[in-house]
Amino acid sequence: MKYCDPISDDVEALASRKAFGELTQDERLAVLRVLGSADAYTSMRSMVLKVRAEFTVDIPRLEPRSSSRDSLRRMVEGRAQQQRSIPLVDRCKAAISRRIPVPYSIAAVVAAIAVTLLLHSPSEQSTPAQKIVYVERPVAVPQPVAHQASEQQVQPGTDSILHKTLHHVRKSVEARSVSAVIRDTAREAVAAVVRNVSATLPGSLHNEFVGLGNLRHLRVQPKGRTLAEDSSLSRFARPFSDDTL
Amino acid sequence: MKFRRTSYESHADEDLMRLIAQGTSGAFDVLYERYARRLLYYFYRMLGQDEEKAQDFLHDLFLKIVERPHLFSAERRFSTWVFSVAHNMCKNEYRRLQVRRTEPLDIDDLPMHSDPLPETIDRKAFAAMLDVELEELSEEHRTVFLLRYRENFSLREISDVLQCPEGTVKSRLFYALRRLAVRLKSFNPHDSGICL
Repeated sequence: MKYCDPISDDVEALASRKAFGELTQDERLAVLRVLGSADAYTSMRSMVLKVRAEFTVDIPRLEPRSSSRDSLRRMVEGRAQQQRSIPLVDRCKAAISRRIPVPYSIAAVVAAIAVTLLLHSPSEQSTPAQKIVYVERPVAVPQPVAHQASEQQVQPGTDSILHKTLHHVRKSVEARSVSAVIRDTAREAVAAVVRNVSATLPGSLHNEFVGLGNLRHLRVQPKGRTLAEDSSLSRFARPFSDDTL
Repeated sequence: MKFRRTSYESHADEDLMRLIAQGTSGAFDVLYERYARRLLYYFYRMLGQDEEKAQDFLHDLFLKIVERPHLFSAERRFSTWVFSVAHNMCKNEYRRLQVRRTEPLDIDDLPMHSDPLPETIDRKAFAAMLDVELEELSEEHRTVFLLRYRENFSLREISDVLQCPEGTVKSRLFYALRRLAVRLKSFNPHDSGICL
């Protein structure tokens, strides 16, 4: 079989268009050489016509899914929204570059600059220079934040933990038992202070610690300073700032 | 206040593609209306008459059109481009399923209906037999045949779709038609028992 024969290639095209009787003499010879007989050509042409007739009939049950169409349509609309969200400047640029020829756009830019100069230059010359007047305004001095809510004033005789502890220290001092017990008690006192955030030691209680060498951290505590502000005390009390104490 | 709806019916396919790339849903509607059924039928025929699969392939094809409209080259006709995409999808599917026919069809081995059926046989019988015979064709021959007789593409357009020489298209067409004429000769009222 000569599938690639140019003559046989044209037989199909001929069969689609012409009956055997309508062929020219040359075409008939070519067909007879390829197919052998006029009947074979007629049979092929009949098949072509039947197939064409069959394929022109729509198949009603084959319908594209509407859900597919809707989802695709939404995607197209989404693309439109996406393009609308492009910044205005970019859209203007795109519109200008797309629709306005280059010479016109250059002319438009030059004209815009000229108009701008015309509008601004005279007004700047005729307008007297503005005098800048500096007005003194009170400067707000940052005030120290008072932590009144968390500050607790410890007075002698109150029933706080600190007072009790310090009282215990004083009694220990009087008993001349300056030892690890006192150190630990002092630590507990400081830890209690830190737990309560801050507490001011009254001067009367301060005096109780003067001369107590083992409690040097408390001894250097000046009057009126809160224990929490003293860095040395904070460092001293840090291991005891846990709530388990 | 009335809003006038833009009609895209008169637009060419290529213009519609440009509008779809810009997000014009109306253009998509028109293009879908023009090609969805044709492509669905093509997939249906090319994929073993599996309607579900054909529907899926149709969706995937239009998904490509919507998502990547820039793939369409304005130098080509849309109709040939979209069918070439469909053709490639079918080829990939054949490759995936490994159902591509490896042995060449031998027309001489085909059984022939020696007894012509009565001329009163209806078109439905012919259609059913044609379906069977089309399934028996190789992918290349079936593609050419469908594009030629179903889509009425010219030989040049088919060669554009398949990216092959026009002569190859002609020979494939001749082969497919000749084979069908042999296999379906019982439906031929002019049949005189002559073997092609």
